[in-house]
Amino acid sequence: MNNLDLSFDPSDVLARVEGDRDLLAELVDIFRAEYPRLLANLRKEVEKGDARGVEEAAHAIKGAVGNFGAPVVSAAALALEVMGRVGALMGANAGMARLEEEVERLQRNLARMGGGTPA
Amino acid sequence: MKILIADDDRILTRLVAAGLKSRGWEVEIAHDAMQALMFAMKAPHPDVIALDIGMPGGTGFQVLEKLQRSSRTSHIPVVVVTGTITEGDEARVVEMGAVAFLRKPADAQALHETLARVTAQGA
Repeated sequence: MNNLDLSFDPSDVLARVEGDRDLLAELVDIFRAEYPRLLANLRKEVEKGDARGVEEAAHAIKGAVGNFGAPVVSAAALALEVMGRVGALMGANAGMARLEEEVERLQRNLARMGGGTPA
Repeated sequence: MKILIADDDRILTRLVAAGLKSRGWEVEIAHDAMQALMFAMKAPHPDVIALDIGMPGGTGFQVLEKLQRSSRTSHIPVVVVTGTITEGDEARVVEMGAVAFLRKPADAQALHETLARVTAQGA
């Protein structure tokens, strides 16, 4: 199976790096190195129930994934950012699970494009 | 021309730096507020600064205020580039001395055009 996620647009990703696949590989490597820490930070804030912390940590993830387009992942991060902003964290655990799933999906899509150093 | 990009998003800074370098800019990157101030104060100073608002170690507002207060950096035009700013914040950064404002996601071409415009105005 080679079905790319419809929410992910490889041509948009390539346009963002102005066609430079080496740069894309470098960005994906940075993303791979960064996202476990960003997700762990957000998870910690969700567990603490710190609304401001959730907002800030989710915002950082939204920015990172937004560099690759990825509207579905960005939306999942935005949902948590908004929960934090309005101080309503009832759905934060479910939102966190969805975000983690979408980040993994983004990783797989980027890997399919040939982005990043093979693990 | 030399630009200092102050933003904690390492993917964005690498992406924008590549695009600006290919357009002839010399690029320096700071990933937190303290680093941004250090790089701005150090000679040779950047010709322009692209400043994010939400950074570790201090907000972009605080960085902007310190840049404007220092005789070493008050002449450097600052372009605020951020994804979280409200209309009130936008008015505040302009009042504080920022010369332009860009909303994320800001690509290299948009940033290049804005930087070229503000540095030409200051020349």
